[in-house]
Amino acid sequence: MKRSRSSQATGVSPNGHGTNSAKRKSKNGKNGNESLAARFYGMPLPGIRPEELSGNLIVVEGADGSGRSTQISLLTEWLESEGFAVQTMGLRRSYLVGEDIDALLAENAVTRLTLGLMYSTDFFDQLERRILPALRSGLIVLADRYIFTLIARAAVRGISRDYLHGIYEIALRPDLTF
Amino acid sequence: MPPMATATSEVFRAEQPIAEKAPTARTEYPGALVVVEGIDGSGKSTQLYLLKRWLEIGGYRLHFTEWNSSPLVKSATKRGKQRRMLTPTTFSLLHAADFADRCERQILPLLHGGYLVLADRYVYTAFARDAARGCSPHWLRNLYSFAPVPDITFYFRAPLDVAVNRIVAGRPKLKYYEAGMDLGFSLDRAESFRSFQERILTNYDQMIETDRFVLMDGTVRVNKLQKMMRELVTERVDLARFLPKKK
Repeated sequence: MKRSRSSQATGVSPNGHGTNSAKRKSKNGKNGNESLAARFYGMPLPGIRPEELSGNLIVVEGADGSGRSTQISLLTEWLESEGFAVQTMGLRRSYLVGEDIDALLAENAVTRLTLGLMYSTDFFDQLERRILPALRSGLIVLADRYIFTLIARAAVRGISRDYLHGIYEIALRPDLTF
Repeated sequence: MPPMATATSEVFRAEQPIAEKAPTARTEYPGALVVVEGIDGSGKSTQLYLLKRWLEIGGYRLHFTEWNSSPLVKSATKRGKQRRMLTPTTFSLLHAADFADRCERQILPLLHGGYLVLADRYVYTAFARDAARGCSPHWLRNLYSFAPVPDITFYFRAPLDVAVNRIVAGRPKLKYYEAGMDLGFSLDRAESFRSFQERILTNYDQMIETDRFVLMDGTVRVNKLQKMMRELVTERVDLARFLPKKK
């Protein structure tokens, strides 16, 4: 928790301004370009202007039972007590297909590829309709798992990594990943 | 930065965009795949239906599949469309999930099982339509890179006005996404539909050579066009393979 706090302090600028955090990111990452390249992996999502995204995206990854949820709730509590508004996202939480995926998993009647694409639909629905608006409003978004989990899991199921990278390259790059 | 953060650079080893992929090579299977493409009102479905009837009557082993028809993702697509909550990306991904389901459970197994598969719309619909909505063509090509390349792709092309009038005259109300209302071209559905179809038409035209479309003039009389279509299929596909074996 101590480390997350200190990282937090550098990752989030006091005024929550996007370009500041992008500059900070460039110290760690290879991308010096603070606009598109800094906030997206490849081509950005259609119709998105990265400069509008003044909030910050913090991703928490890890296996089941690794303490993700506990850390996220502690972090949320801390951020809120400091006056930062927090939005969360996770897997299978989209309004669009979250329940459909649950149903598909229960029935077990779907191919790996279809399931993988349903997960990416779920991810982008949350990203575009919940996360990006939150970031535009300057909120801090805590993601309980992100594309790293999605890619790793689908790759284990036999879907090519190149293919998966191609799909998720339009996703937003986190400001901080644990 | 904590060590975990290096996951970013590791997963996206290639910081530069992923190289354009060549279309999937046609894997060896005894079946054949014939698809029709074209904007709404170009006459493609009518022609494919007539082709299908002809082949069915002839006793050929065939399977017909339609765009956006898998039951698995139907509820999600319906929900998304009704509530108008689909973005270009999620619209595209849902259709890809639908196609993946049909591809892996019908199209590919049947091609391997020696069937003649007829598809009303194929991946080119996504390339033309989703790109018209703003998705990157490069991203779309990757998304559908698992699809087998058709043996014949008929591209039915009718002038924009002809095609649009066929649809607008026959349909009391165009649906929201069908009319491309999500693109904000116009508040008038018919007008929006026209602009949307125009973009799609341009995108289709750009694929004629790269994707080896067989150009079909959608203004030719139905029976005459069907005759041409049957001749082309006979020429390019060894139809005898799809007849039941004589005992």
